[in-house]
Amino acid sequence: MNALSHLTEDVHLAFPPRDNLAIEARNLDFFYGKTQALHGVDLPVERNKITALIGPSGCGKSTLLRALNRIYDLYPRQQAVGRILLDGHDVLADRKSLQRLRERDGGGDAEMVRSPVDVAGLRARVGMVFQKPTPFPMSIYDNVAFGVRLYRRVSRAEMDMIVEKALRRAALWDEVKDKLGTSGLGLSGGQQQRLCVARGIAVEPDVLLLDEPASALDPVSTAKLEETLVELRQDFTIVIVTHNLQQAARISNYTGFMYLGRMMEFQSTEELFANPRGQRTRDYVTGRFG
Amino acid sequence: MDRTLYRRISNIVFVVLTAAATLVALTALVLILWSLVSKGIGGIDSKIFTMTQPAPGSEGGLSNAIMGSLIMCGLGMAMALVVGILAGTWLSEYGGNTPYGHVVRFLNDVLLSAPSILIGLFVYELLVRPFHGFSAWAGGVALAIIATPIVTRTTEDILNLQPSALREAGMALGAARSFVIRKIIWKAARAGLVTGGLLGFARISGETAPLLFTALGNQFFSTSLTQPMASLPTTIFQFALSAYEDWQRLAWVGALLIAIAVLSINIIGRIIAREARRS
Repeated sequence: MNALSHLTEDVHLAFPPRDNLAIEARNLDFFYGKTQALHGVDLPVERNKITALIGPSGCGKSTLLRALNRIYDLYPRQQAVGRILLDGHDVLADRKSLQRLRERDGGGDAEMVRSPVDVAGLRARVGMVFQKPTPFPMSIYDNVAFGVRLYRRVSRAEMDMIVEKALRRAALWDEVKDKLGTSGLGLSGGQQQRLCVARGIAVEPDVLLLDEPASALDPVSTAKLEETLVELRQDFTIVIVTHNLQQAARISNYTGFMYLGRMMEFQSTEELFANPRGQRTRDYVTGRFG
Repeated sequence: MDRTLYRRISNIVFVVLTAAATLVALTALVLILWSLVSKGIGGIDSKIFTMTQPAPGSEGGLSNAIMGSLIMCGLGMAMALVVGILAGTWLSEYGGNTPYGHVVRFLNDVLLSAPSILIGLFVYELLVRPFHGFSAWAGGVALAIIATPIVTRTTEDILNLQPSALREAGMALGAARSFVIRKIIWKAARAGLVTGGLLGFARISGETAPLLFTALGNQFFSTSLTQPMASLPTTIFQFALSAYEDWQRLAWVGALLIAIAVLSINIIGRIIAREARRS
């Protein structure tokens, strides 16, 4: 810890006002087994904005993203300690997580209302798109309908409408409307990724998490995906992890720079790229390290 | 000696040795197939499939043995697929890294190479002696025990090949883990699962020893699962050791039928696996 204390002097956080947040991480630690990957990270995410997370490989930005919908639950040795608030509900408020929080912070914050959350409900409201396109081995139509069918029983006609709307919003409709019955695996990489976006937004989540969604795509597909995300901002709140600094600068409203598991700087995107406060942020965005 | 010359010579020697070994193996295979085809092909006619096995010196076919093999292999595969796919799924998706999982995997590997005659004796003690009689059920169970570890192993291997991002994508939509496995992972792996089943089927369709102690064999046509049942391998065993020339000829035909069946199953399995890799 002491060896890293110089890091805390270089922290510059200008968070958005707290009154219009879609999701928020507070004082979050994250562990892979005994290895600590996040150290007391705060991340307020403003509604209907795009928040980008940047930083060198291994800085914890993907880990932070994966904590927000608790997808790490799949792996028994990974655990998060802290708070993740979705509309005031703490998504880390199950018994085991609370126990760990008490061990860390003591019993000092009992005043906080901690309502338990069910993970399926959480994931219905916080969708995720991964680095590699992950279409399911089924038709394009069924890919988009998959999530909807988990939560609602809808008529065929209504489902047709939901699928069309999701594909339109993901800017994929015109390319696939004549082959909805064919396998999603037959699409190109960029189309597959937009199919995954459509699948994620078909369930009408509040928040959409994207983990380097363009890293496996060519420039044209990347541009299309970015356009789509900017469009989607009207209806959804987006958090995107990216290695591509221009991408963060092009599409995001806020940018967080992470380093060694800490949030080092958080500013509006314009500010962070035009006028970075921290030395490390400056070095990173000007390409001096990373 | 010159270093390059030494290397060139040792390279040539090694290539010749491996080529010779391949030639030996291939020669054996070709000789077996050749004698099978040359002695068996002449005996194949419609009677083989329509008439039951004859008394020495009279006309007949192998219909009782073919039917028995199909029934017992089908029975065995049905059991082996259920147990094997579930066990393989558990190893891959749930308990594979627990101590219990390691024990299960180790025992499965042991079972994979267990002598089939031991499995026959085991089922004899389990199902034949207590019920005072040989039966097709017992034969099916013995075959299932042989095929199960094959199916378990291939299922685990195939499921492990599925990208974890696919599981995460399913979970990220809010689906329960078991739902993701059934609707997405099994579907993505279906070609591999089919191949595993076919490999198991090919393996048990030629097994003799486990059937001798369990289904025994039956010279009449029978589809009753509680009675002794004929099968191609046991009939071949019986006819090939007999002194009658027409019985021996039928044994060659039966052997050829099994070889053709196993060969085509393996080829189908390979085609399915290749198609799946392409898509």
